[in-house]
Amino acid sequence: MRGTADRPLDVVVHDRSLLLTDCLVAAFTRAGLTAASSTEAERAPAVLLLDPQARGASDVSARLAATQTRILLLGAPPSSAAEVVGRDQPVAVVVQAVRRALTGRAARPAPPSTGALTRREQQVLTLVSRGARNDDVSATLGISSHTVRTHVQNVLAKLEQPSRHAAVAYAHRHGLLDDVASSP
Amino acid sequence: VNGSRLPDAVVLGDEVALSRTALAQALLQAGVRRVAEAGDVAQAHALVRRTRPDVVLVSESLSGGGVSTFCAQHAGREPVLVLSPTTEHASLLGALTAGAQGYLGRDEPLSALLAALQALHRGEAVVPRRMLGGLLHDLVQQRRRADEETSRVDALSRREREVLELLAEGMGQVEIAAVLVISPQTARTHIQNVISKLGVHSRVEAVALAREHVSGRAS
Repeated sequence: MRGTADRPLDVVVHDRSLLLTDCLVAAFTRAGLTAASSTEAERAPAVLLLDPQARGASDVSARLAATQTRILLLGAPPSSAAEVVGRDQPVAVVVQAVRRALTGRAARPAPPSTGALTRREQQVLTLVSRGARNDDVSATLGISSHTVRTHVQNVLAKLEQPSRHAAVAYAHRHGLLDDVASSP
Repeated sequence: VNGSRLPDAVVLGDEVALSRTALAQALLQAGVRRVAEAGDVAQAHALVRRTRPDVVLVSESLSGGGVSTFCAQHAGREPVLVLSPTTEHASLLGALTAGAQGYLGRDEPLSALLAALQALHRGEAVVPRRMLGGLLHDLVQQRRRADEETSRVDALSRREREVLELLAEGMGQVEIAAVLVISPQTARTHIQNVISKLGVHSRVEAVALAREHVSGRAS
């Protein structure tokens, strides 16, 4: 831990692997942030990068519950409740996510209100995301392909996306896809 | 020979992008000059052949077969250090018997990894100190068992040993009797004595033990 006497602590890392914890602290330090492992940290950081499956994870997050610390989960299954960074990302992406959290923006931009898409539009988008063409969607949902096209156009307009492909990527990022429609 | 220098070049095989890139960056920062990153066994082999590293660092569960597959196909002399998520006796034995020269848990600090890389670069083996007890215990037990078996084979009479050798060639009681010019009943008695003296339950087990004993002596 460096510069803790005169600078606030930017990020504390708590991973199941001490080796990775050390490497991440080194990466953050190199990126100009003040960083420490949870065992070294003496006060609440701005961001806690937490592996929820690490030993003592609940103790660490409980200790910081009353503070302003923002928690980023490391490698947890995606959940709408928490901000998550994946282990399948290179370290540079994790450093970026922490930087974004520090500047107050969420690691995942807030999704539009779920009310923006109607239930039917959500179903259509989910089918499209699985590679269905308009004909397939029409057959699956029992609606005309003209109606499907209208739904898709409305989805693109509401999400402000230029293409089906872009809309699907956007929906994946924001967890907008409908699980119900996925069952055959 | 290499003092306490870090290796110049390392091939790093790790299937998880975050830990691979974070480790690579940390190694470069610590003074390793070249770190080549591989996501699976095949890539790791290709990089070892191409970059001729001083040390190979591989994740125990590297995609494409893990450490055992990697080591089995690793023809080079570069020492291999295995990174294991948990340090368990069985996984340590697995890594060492596969041919790795070092073993380290991911629950160790970065400084321990750097020290391990230096040690491997010097030609030393690396085993976590607290696991040495278990490893020695295993070796001692193995040795005791081998000694005990040896002494049991040594306790056989000359005739019984002849019978055991013929058994090992696949002969039955009648054939043994013919070869040694004794009655089948005597051959049977010898076989029974061999089995009871060796403390085994069958002719097959007796032969298996004898083979191990003989090959153990040869090596």
